[in-house]
Amino acid sequence: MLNLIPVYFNKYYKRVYVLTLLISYIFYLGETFIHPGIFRLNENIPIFLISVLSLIPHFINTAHTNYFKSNNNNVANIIAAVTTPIFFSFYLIFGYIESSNYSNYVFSTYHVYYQNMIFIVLTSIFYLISISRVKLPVIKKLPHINYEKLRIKFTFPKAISIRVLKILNKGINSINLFFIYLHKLSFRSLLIFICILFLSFENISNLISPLTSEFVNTWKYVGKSYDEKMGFKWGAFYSYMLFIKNNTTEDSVIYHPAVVGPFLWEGSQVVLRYFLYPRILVNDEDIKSDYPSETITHALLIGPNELAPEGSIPRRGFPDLTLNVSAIKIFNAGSIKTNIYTPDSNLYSGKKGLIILRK
Amino acid sequence: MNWIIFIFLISFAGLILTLSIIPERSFIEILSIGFALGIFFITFTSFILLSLDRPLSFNFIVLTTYAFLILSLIFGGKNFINKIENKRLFIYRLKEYFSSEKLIYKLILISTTLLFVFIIIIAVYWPITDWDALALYDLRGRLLSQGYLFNDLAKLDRFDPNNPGYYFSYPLLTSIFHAQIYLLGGRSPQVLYPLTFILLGLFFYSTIKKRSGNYAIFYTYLFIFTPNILRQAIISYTNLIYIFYYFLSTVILSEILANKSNRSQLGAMFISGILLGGSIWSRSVEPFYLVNILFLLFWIIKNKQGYIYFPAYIFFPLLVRYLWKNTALKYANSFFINSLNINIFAKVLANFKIEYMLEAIKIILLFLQDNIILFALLSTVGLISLLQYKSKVIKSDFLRITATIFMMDMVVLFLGTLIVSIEFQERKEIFDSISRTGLFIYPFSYLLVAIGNPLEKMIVKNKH
Repeated sequence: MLNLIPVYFNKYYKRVYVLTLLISYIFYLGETFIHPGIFRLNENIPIFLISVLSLIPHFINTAHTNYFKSNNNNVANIIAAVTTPIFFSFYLIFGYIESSNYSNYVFSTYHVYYQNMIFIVLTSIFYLISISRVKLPVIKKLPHINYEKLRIKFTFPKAISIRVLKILNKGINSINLFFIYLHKLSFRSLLIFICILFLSFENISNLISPLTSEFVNTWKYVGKSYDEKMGFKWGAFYSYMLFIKNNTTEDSVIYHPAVVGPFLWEGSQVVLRYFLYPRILVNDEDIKSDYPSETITHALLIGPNELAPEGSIPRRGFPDLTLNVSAIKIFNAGSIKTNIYTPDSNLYSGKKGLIILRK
Repeated sequence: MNWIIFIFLISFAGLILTLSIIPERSFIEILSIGFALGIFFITFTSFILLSLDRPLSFNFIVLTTYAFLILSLIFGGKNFINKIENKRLFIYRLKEYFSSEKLIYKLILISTTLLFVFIIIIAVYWPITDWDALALYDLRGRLLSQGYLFNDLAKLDRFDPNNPGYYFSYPLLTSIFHAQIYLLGGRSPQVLYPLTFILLGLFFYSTIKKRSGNYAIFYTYLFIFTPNILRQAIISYTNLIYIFYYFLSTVILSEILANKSNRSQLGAMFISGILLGGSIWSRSVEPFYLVNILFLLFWIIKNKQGYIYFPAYIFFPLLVRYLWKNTALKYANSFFINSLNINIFAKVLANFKIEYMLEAIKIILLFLQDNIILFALLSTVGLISLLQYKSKVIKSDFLRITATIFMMDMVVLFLGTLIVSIEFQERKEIFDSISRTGLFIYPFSYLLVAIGNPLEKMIVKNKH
């Protein structure tokens, strides 16, 4: 049965091959020039899957026939040969523009998500490698440079010229050998080879930035204390936790918001517990399930965000109820002497703090 | 310094023990397996102590470390001395491994070594900061090091309606290790993760080296520079530890079953079983250990031999699972603990809809799509296997067995995704889950590609 498949595909081979390649290109172009995610997110079409699937007829055909004989002058290969330099040039140009300006500059200015163009380039290069037999010429003489015109007096000593030529030719020979090697690979080996090559490039490009920033950060933080390092990783939240810790005793019972909207950290008991243990943490659900609210000694204060939509949780802040209090301490801004806390007070807008209910 | 000596001693003890059971293996493999065994035994012993309601202490750790070392020396000391006398260990082997004439290999070696040093520095220097690592694994470690017992851990979340049974949702391998490091005066238990990463990379290298010659270093370079894997080396999550144990166990199992010589490999099978137990001891949620056990059972029935392998292989996995499940159920009760309960399958069947299945397929495809090259590699391997299976082009039994286990793991991953998609029904949560659970795909797929398609054998003769 399996042997019949290539026979079937041989018949329709070129048509199917061109069609699948074109479909891949259309998807990639859409992702590049319309907007990223147009196919992937809106239609749930895994474009890369289609791209890989587009190679199947090629694979089946070549797995059972002489690969190099069957592919010459294929329309798809010609398409790839024409489009590769065009897309690759675009990719390089856009990459240059992006790097000379700021991140996402190309997308915000030209509405082109050029990063996705790499997939067209990679696919095209794959087809190109499969058809081309690159043979670079051996250089017998170094190219002449008119130094006089440049008004620089510089002459190559003969020994250096020979040495440079040798190095150049060695490099060219290596490239030639590389291409000869590629041509000796079977189709599947070529596919794997290309995948591995891309994988290594992709890995390195994805790792350079995070590893560099890790290195720079580590370098900057040499000799710093534990608190400083935690402050760097957790930001203001860590300082806020230290503030709460320093202003409460270990037997305190602290009332905190639920895990909703803006309170993802302040609302998570498991996170709060790491910083505040052994203090007991309770929220609304505990109070609803008969937790004795009179034992609560403190409450986190997260002031309302006036820029948030009317009626939303961040707009109201936490706690969203009037409380009789002993004192209110504002994070990084001293204390407020009051006996009552009202949620709509402008005093707490955009601020964080600690409400002391009883000492 | 105590904690450094501690890590050295337990690794050394594990190494001697491994050497006494499977002396024929390469030094790198023995080192990796020894480290895995050392960590497993030393943390599991502490777990048993805690199960008996006794707190961890400095003295207990010192005592168990030396006991482990002495027992290892009794069992394998003679073998170890013989090895040293034969000059087959350490520097001699290392020199053999790391000597290379080609510039590209030297560059890879230098960059790899730099990477290893760098991740150790990062892991040791920075405190633990990631969410679960901090809130679960490290907090448990800190509290256990302060003399807390399981009862105390169970009380922690009594006012937390959102996370019932949180502190017993995952086994304690890493937490106990953290506690031991803290008790020994260390401040950076995170060193466990880069060490595991390095040893996993070395074991991966050695496995391919035996089959693919010099290109092994190239594939290893690809593997260790995979961002998703590398990231696990500098955060204190259990996924990397899990992969380490599971990968080692599966490779050893495949090698034993692929080896057709009559020599008994009971010891190796026992070690493979311990490592599988180690995988459960680091993460009990993933049921991939069942794949190995079922595969072994199937193999024994089919080949009508090696019956003794089965009890040797399943003893530790079942022991670990039984003890951990009992402890977790005693102190907490949650979805995670019951994930392999029959009820979950009943729930899946009761709530099954075709949309969930389509969603699970879609999520797996999206995950693979996000790892496009990996997906391409997998597709290639899959296609090759499909087309060439009948023609028996794949002649390596090791490859066949590993590939079969890997494909079965993929099926389990799909079923797991299906269950999670019914349980959570939030795409982000499901996707996060699969992106962590699916990490095993990397070492296995690279290994299969490396062994199935060794580059030096790729040249097709007389093609044109």
